Amino acid sequence: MKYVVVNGSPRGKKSNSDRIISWMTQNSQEVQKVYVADIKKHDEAMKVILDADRYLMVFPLYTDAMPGMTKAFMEKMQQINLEEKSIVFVVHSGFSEPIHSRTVERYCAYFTKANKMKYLGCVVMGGSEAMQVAPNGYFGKKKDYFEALGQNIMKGELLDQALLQKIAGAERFSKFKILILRFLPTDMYWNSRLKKNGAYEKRLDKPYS
Amino acid sequence: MNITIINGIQDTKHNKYQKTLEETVTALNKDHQVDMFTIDDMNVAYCCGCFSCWVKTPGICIYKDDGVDIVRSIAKTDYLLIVSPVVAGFISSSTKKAMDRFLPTLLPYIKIYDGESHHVPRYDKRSNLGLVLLDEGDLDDEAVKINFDIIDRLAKNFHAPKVFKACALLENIKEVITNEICSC
Ligand SMILES: Cc1cc2nc3c(=O)[nH]c(=O)nc-3n(C[C@H](O)[C@H](O)[C@H](O)COP(=O)(O)O)c2cc1C
Repeated sequence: MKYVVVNGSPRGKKSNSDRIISWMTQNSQEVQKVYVADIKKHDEAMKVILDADRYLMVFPLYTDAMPGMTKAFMEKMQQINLEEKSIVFVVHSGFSEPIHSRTVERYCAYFTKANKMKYLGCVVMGGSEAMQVAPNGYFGKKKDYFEALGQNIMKGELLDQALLQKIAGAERFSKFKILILRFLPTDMYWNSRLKKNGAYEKRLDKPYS
Repeated sequence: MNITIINGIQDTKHNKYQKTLEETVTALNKDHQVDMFTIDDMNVAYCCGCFSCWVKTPGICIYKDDGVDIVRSIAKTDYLLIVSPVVAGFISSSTKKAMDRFLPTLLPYIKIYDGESHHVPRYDKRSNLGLVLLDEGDLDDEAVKINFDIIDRLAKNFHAPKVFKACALLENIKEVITNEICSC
């Protein structure tokens, strides 16, 4: 059994995806990683893909789907024979609610079926941009859940539905949460980054109007 | 009306649509101002996720390539139309590459719209959104439905008042696009 992890983030090694991957793979020695961000190496990566029989593909939500380079990678994958190989996806988004990622999750299942692969499941997690600043402790139990799902993959099992549910949380905000959110300083993260770059005054600029 | 067309044709199989699309644009240009971007003929980099367009040079992408013209056009458009072949069951990577580059037209700030998180738009203009999938008679319903649903989500994220979705054959693509545009 050969296991390959596809990091589907344009940010490559500096991505939140890589952090999730480190949680999911920490107990396994035989993990080979490929990065879709190495766009010039997609053809080379296909040799690694062809050689393996189990995949984990992790990507951030970009304009409601997978990033462009991840789609380019999947188009290359579609051209090789992936029959009987098994795959797990992780889709994570900047927005907190899993609802944003559910449509592309359906595509992940479709892609698996179209290639006659085995679908072991898809993890959906919101609020991943916080990883840029938050320590592992901030994610508390979620990190443990990802580790446990990593074990599922090692054993070739279907992902544990209860864990998927725990990671995803509520599909949408409750009315109560919406009320609370109104009073939270949610702009703070972006404003502090803008200020650090001396760009705060220009934050609302409309350069092409 | 200002119309922006993203043309995501990327394989020779769909080249035959190119001429018809150009004729459609010529016809539309009599009453409208149309910018058509054929992504594969342009120099457009994949978004690298640096967020410069939000936190360093607000509204301006780090890449000074042809993607800038797309953002300039979208900032003023009344109708954003995405024309794409279906590759591996999904809009093409060229189409998706262009979509990722829409990010500078939003602000980083998040607000609740219709009970969901979405970004606040940077520009005042609200443009309608359309999707036309190129149909070779080989599209399966499930793939079409997924692509249509993605465009519905994109419409929410980009605050489009109306959203149109259709499949078109070579024989009727001109009609499909013209009808879509006339209906707004
Ligand atoms: C071009 C672009 C588009 C994005 N679109 C979405 C989106 O539609 N919904 C969402 O929740 N997050 C969106 N995000 C946020 C990313 O999913 C989020 O920042 C993620 O944590 C990045 O993970 P990475 O470091 O692994 O690339 C987008 C980010 C970029 C750069």
